Amino acid sequence: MNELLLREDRLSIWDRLIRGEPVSMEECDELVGRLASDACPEEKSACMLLLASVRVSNERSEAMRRNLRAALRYWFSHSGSKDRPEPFDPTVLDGTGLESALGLYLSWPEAMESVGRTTVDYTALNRITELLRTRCAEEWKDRLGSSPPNELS
Amino acid sequence: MKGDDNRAEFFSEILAHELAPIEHDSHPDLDLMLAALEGTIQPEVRSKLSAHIATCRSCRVRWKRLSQRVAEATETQKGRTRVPSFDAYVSERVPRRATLGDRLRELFEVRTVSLAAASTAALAVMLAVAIPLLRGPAVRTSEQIEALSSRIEILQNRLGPSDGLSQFGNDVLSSGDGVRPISAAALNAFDWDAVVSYTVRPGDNWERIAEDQLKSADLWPLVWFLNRESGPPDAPPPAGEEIVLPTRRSAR
Repeated sequence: MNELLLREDRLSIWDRLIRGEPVSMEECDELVGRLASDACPEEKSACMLLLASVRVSNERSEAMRRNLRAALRYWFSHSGSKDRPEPFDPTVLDGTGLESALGLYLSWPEAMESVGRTTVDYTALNRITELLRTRCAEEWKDRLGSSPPNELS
Repeated sequence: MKGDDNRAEFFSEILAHELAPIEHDSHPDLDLMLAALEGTIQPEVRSKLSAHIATCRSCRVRWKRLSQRVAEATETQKGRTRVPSFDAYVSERVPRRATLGDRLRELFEVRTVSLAAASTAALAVMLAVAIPLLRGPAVRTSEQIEALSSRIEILQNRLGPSDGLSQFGNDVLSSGDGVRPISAAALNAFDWDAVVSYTVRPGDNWERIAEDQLKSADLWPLVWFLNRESGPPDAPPPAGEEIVLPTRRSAR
């Protein structure tokens, strides 16, 4: 039960990050503090990724925050059964949260367009992915005291 | 590049795990969803709602349906407040060869509005616009005169001949019956094609709305004319009703 509540609370924070709203590290620390020591690897990974994302949103430039929002919207949009109107205008997602992204299966250019930027390549996605990987690995070592999974090394 | 792809896929999988369905004990009610769509709930509550919708299939279906209905209703509302240009408006509503009486009957009989009151107001509007122009003291540029005169001419042609129009106008103007001539400057201070919504407040009437919102009570006949579907000119519009008002032109 605690695991489910924790996941719902994490999703609330994901929603705020997608909307570009501020999330404090303290708030995120409190959430991760509730993570059980015997939690499954997916739980741990989710918590570390959330920590890394909040850190990036607090420390980096406006451009990187925008890329983070686009990346989260992009990844979340690839969940659930595909359900998107055609033709689809990504700009309607401006100011919307998690619930609007699900099932849209956005392309990266569409995800960027949803945050007001036009791009045709994946450079920004690769950059934010690499930054999150680094942060995630650091958080894993600091908080969990063990080596991160291979995907983060 | 391959590493980036793997990591992106890893993150995508983590986030997909976050969205695994949850058997919720309770579900958000309709009011909460509507408030979220209207943007009238606290951000924390809205984000909790988003988290619930993301993990609850039935609520996601409800949310999608509701969003679509609200979007459709918003579109309809936009359509209602999109007012055609004055010329298009006249041309659409007034049969080319109809007499003034026919036109007024057509406009108001269906709504069981007093024909006399409606005629009075319609003629007052015509005169309020036309008389200052014909007298011409307030017009500053020849362009303005030409544009406004042209509009009046179109109106007059479309409405057809009407005996007694001038007499009526004189009567209204000399009676001090609340209808005063509108100067071209006052008329031109507003864009009557670009309109904004206004919700009628208790105690409002056409003159008060023109006074409060446009800072010119003299413009009330035009405000009524713009919203004449809301009722006759001698009755205040119903409180709570959405009407439209012209926007003030920015100073050059």
